[in-house]
Amino acid sequence: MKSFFISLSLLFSSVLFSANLTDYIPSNATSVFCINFNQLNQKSKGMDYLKYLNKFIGENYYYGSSSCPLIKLSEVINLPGSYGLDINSNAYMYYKVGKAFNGKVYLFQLSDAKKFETAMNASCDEPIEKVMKQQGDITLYMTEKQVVGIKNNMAFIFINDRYEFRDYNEEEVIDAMEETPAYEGDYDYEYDRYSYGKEPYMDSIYHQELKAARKFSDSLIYVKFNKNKSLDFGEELNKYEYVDTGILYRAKRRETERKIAALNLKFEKITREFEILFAPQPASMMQNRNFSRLDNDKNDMYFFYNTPIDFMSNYMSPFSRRYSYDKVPKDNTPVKQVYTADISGSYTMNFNNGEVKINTFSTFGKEAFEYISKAYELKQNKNLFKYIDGSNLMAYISHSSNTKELVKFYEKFYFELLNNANLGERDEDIVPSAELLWNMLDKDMLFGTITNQWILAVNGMIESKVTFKTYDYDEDFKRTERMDERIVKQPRMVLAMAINHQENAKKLFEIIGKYKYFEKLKDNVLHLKPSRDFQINLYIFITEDAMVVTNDYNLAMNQQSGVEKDKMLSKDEMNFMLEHNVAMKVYSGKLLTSINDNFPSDSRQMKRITNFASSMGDLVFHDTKPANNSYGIEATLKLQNTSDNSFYQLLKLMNVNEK
Amino acid sequence: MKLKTFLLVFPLVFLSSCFEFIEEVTYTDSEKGQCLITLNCSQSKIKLKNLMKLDTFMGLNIPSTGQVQNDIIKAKKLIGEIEGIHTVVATSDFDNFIFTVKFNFDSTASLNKALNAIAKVESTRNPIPYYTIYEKTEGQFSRLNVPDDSTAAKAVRQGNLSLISGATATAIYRFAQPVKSISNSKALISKNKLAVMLKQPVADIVKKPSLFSNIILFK
Repeated sequence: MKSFFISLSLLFSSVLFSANLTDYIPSNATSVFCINFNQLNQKSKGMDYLKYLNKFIGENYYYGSSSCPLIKLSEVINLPGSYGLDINSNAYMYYKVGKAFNGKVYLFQLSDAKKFETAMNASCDEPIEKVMKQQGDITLYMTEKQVVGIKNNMAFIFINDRYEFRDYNEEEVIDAMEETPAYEGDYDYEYDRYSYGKEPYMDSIYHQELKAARKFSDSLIYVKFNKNKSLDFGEELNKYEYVDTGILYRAKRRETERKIAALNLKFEKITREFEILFAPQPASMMQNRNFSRLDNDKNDMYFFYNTPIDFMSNYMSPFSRRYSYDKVPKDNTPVKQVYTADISGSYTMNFNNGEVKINTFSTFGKEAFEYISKAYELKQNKNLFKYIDGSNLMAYISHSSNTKELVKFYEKFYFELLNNANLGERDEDIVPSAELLWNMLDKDMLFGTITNQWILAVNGMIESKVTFKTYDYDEDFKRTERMDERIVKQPRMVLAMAINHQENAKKLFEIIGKYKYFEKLKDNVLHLKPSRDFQINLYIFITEDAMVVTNDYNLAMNQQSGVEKDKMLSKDEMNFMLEHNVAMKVYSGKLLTSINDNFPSDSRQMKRITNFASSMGDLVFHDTKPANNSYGIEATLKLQNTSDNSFYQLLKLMNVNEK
Repeated sequence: MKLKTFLLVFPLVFLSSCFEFIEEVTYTDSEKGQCLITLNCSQSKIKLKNLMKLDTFMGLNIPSTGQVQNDIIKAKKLIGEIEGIHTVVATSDFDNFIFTVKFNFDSTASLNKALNAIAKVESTRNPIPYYTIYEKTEGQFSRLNVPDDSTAAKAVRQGNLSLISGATATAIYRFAQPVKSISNSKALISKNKLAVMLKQPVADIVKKPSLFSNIILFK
C-alpha cells in the first residue's frame, strides 16, 4: 500500500511539474517552428544532424564591448549534452511582435537546468554586460540583445530583433533625432589639442583627466627639449599623443558601469513583460485548432505561420513603417477583419522510408476561402499540351487558376490590410490613392488577356552558335584577330500560356514587338536578340490559343501547331496536369544524365552533384483540392533506396560530400 | 608572365573553362623591347557574364567589373613606376572579356620587375615571392621554370583542373637575332627564325610548370 501511494505521489508530481512547451507559446505569435528531436534521433540512427541546424540559427548578434553574446545558440544546439538539453523532446521557436520588443523565442526542454545555467555563464571567458534577476521560480538573464529565462526544466531564449531594447513612441523618436550629443567630445569642431575624440567612453571625466595629463606633460616637454637639444621632436610628440592607460582604463570602466546601470534600469521596466512571456499563456497557441492539429500530428519538423493583423500590417503591407520605431500597433485603432482574418499556414517535413514528404497548408477565413476555392476550380487548358515535347521531358511545372477570382480575393485582402495598416499621419492618403489607381486600371487587359494556365517544361538540349574573338598567327608568328563560332548547349525550355482574350493578346504582342530588342521573324513570331547581358536566343510566338516563349527555333518557326504526334506528352502526364492545379515533376535521373552528357566535368562539385543525384528518385509536387477552408501542396522526393529512412540516407550523403 | 598572377587577378578564368593566355615578348635590340600580355576569355563570355552577376561561385569570390578594372589600373600604375618601363597601356573589353597590358622595357631585369609588380597587386593576402621569369644574355634567352605551387596544388586538390580543360597558354618571343635552337620540344621556330612560339594547355602547365619553360639559343 505504501509503495502504491509513493507511486501515486510520484505520478502526480511528474504530472504537476512536467511542462508542455506549447502552453508557453502565445496565441498571437506570428510563427512557430518545431523540431521533434526524439523522432529525428531515431531516424538518424545516431548520425549527427544538429550541426546542420547552425545555418538556420544564423549569427548571434551581440551588443556591447564584449565579443560574446549572453548565450551562443549554435553551441547549445551542437553540444546539447554540455548544456543539459533534453533532446528527446520537441524544441520550439516562435516569433513575437510585441510593443517593447520583436524577436525570436527559443524553447527547450532541459534534463539538467543547473548544467544549462552553468554552461551558459561559462561560455564566454570575458566579462559581458549582463544583469541577472530571480523572479519567483524563474531566473532571468538579460543583455541588450538577449534574454534567457530558466524555469524548472525549461529554458527560454529570446533574441531581440532590434539593436537594443527601446520602447520608443513617436515623440521620443523626434526627441532622439534632435538629441544633443552625450559627450562633449562630439562637438569639438574647433581643434582642442588637450582633449578631442568622440568614442563612447570619452566622457567629461576622461577629457578632464586627459587635459590635466597633457598640460602636465606640456610643462615637462619644454624643460626636456631645453635640456637635450638633440631630442627627436616627432618621437616626443608621439609619446605625448599617447593616452595614459590609467585614464583609458578608468574611462572604459565608467562606461561599462553606465551601461550596466542603464541595462538594470531597462530590465526593471521590462522584467514583468518577460515574466509574462515566459509563463504559461492564458491564451496559448494550442487554442488555435490548426496549430493544435499540426502539433498532435507528430511531424518531424514543422513551421506554422499565424498572421495576426499586427504582423500583417507591419510586414505584408508595402506602406507600413516596418523599419520605423512607431510601428507598434495602436491599441485604439479599430480593426475590421473579414478577408485578412483567420489566415494561417503550415509547412511540415517528414522523413519516411525512401522518401521525404513536404506538405504545406494554408487556411483562410470563410469569405476568403470562397474566392480561393473558385479560383482553383479551373482545370489546366488541354490546348497547351501540344506545345510540350514529351519525348525527353526532364522537368515541368503546370499551373492553372482563375486569375479573375484570385484578383478579387487579393483586391479585398490588400485593401482591408491597407485600411487596417499602421500608417503614419503623412501616409494616410496612400489608401485612397491606391484605390483610385486600382479602379482606373484596365483589369480585363491585365488579368484577362493571358490566363493563369501555363506549363513550363524543360525537355532536352538545343545547340546554339556563339561568336567569339580569337587569334591566328602567320608563319612568322605575327598575330591577327578574327571572329570564330562555337556551339553551346542549352536546356530546351518552353513556356506555354493560355490566351483568354485573343484581341488583347494580339495587341500586347504588337506593342512588345516595337521594342528595339525584338525582331519580327514572322507575323506572329518575335525574336529577342541576344544582348550583352542576355545571351540567349528567345522566341515569342502567338497562336489562337496560346502565347509561347521558348529558346527552340524549330518550335517557334516550324511547329506552331504542336509537336509531332509521337512526341506528345504521355496520357499519364496529361492526366496529372489535369487533376491538379499545381503539378510539378522533376525526373532527376534524366536530368542528371543530360547534364553529364552535355556538360562533362570531373570536378569535385560535379562529383558531389552526381553522387547526390544518383541516390535521388523523382520529385513529384502537386496541390490538394481546396477543402475545409484550406488549400495545400504536397511534395514527395523519392530516393532510390526505399528500405532505409530518408533522413539517415540524406545525412550519409551529406557527410560523404563534406569530405 | 606568371600564369598564377592572372589566375589571382582574375579568379573568373578558373570558371571560364575556355580562355587564351598569351605572353608576347618582342626584343627590338639585345636589351630593349615590348611586352604584351593578353587574356582572352571571349569563348566563355556568356558564362562569365552570368557569373559576374554573382558574388561567389563554388567557393570562389567573383569580382565585380569595377574590382577588375581597379586591379588593372593598380597594376598599370605599379608597372609605370618601375625604372626602365615606359608607355604602359592597359585595355579591358567587358563585352568579349579580353584584357591586355602592353609596355616597353629597357632591360630584361625591368621586364621581370614589371611582371612581378602585376603579381603583387592581387597577392596581398597570399604574397608571392619575387621570381626571375626571363633571363637574357648575348647568346641565350631563357623562360625559366616558375613554380606555381599554391594555386596548382589547390586546384589539383580540389579536382577543379577539369574546369579549365579548354584553356591554353601561348608564349611568343621575337628577337632581333636569329634563333639557333630551342630546348622545349613543343615550341616552334618561325620561318624567318626570328621568333619562337609555344602553346600548351593551361591545366598541364598548372600541374607541371616546366612545360612552359624554354631555353632559346641564338646564332
